[in-house]
Amino acid sequence: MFHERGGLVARVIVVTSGKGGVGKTTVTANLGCTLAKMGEKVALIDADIGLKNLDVVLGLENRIVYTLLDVVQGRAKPQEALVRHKILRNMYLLAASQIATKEMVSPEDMKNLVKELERDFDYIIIDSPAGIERGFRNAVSPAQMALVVTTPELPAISDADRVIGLLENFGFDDESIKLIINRVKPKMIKSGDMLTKDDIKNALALDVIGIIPDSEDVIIATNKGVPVVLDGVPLAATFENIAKRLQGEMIPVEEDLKISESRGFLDFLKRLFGRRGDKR
Amino acid sequence: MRFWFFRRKKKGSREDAKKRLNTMISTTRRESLSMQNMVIPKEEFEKNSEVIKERIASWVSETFNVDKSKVKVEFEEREGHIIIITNVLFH
Repeated sequence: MFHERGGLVARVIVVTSGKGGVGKTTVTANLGCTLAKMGEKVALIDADIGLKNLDVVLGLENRIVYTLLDVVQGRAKPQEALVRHKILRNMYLLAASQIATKEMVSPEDMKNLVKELERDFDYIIIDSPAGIERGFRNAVSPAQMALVVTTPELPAISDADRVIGLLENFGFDDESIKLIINRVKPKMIKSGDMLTKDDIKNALALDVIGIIPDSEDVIIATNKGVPVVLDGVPLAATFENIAKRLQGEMIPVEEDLKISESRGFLDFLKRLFGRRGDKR
Repeated sequence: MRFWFFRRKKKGSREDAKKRLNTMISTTRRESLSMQNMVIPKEEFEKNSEVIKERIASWVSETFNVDKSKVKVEFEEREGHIIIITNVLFH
C-alpha cells in the first residue's frame, strides 16, 4: 500500500484560523482532494480531537477503525489507521477521536506521527481545531507551512491576526504563512458592504493564496458526503487555483472570484437541469 | 409614499469595517507577540552575560535611585529561552 518515495518527504501544511466556523475543515478536505486529483499522494490528519468533522465532510465516517489517539497511544500504526478515500485512491485520512481530549496528544506526538508518514506522501495536510490552546499547538508543531483561513468579517480577521502572531512565535516566517479568504460575496463587495481582499491583506500583512466565493454548493456537497471539488461545481476551479499556487504556479488570486462571476445564463440552465436529474 | 429614486444611496458598511479593523488590529497587533526578529544566539548571550548583568544593574540603580547592591539580576533558562529576572529591593 505504501511505497518509499526515494528519500522525498511530504510537504506538511496546517490549515488553521483561530475562530471556529470559518471553513477550515472544508478547505482541508477540498484542497486535499484537489491535490489528489492532480496526482499527488495526500494524507489528511484531523487534529480536532473531540470535535472531529473531517471524516464527515469526506463521507468516510463509517470507515474509521483507528483514530489519531490509537496511533499516539500505540494501539495502531499510522499506516493502519489511515483510511483510503472512496473515489480518490491516492488520498488518505487519519481521523480524530471523538471521545478523547486535545490534552491526550502532545506536539511531540504529532511530530513523531508526521515523521512516520512523511516518506509515504507528497502532502500531509493537518486540520487544526479552532482556538489557540493545546489542539492548535498540536496541529501546528509538525507543519512547515500554515494556511490561515478567514472570512471577510471582523471577528474572524481579528482572530486570524492573533493566530498569525502565534505562528510567527512558533518560527513561521511571512513566506510560510498564507491567507485564504473564505465565503466572499462579490455582490456585497460591489455594493461596498464587505471588506475586500486588499483590505484584509493590508490589515494582516500577508499574501493571499486563495479567495473562495460563498457557495450553497458546499452545504449540498457536505450533505452528500462528497467534497465540493468532486461534485462538478464551479468552486472546484478555485481550489484548483489554490493547489496550483501551492505547487508554485503564479495565478493571480483575482481569478478565483471571476469563477463565481462568470456564471452566465447557460450555466444557470445547466445547473438547474443538472440538479433536477440528481438524486439527493 | 417614497419612491426608489428619491432614496439616498446608503453608505456601504465596508468603510466602517475598515476603520474598526484598523483599530482592532493596531491594539492587538501581533508585533507585540512577534519575537522572531529579537532572538539573539545563545552563544552571543553567554559571551556577554556578565556585561548584560552589569548594564541592567547600573540602569536600574540610576533609574530608580537605589543602591546597586540592592539590584539582583539573574538568568534562567526556560523552554530554550533565557529569561532575565531583575529584583529591586525597595524598603
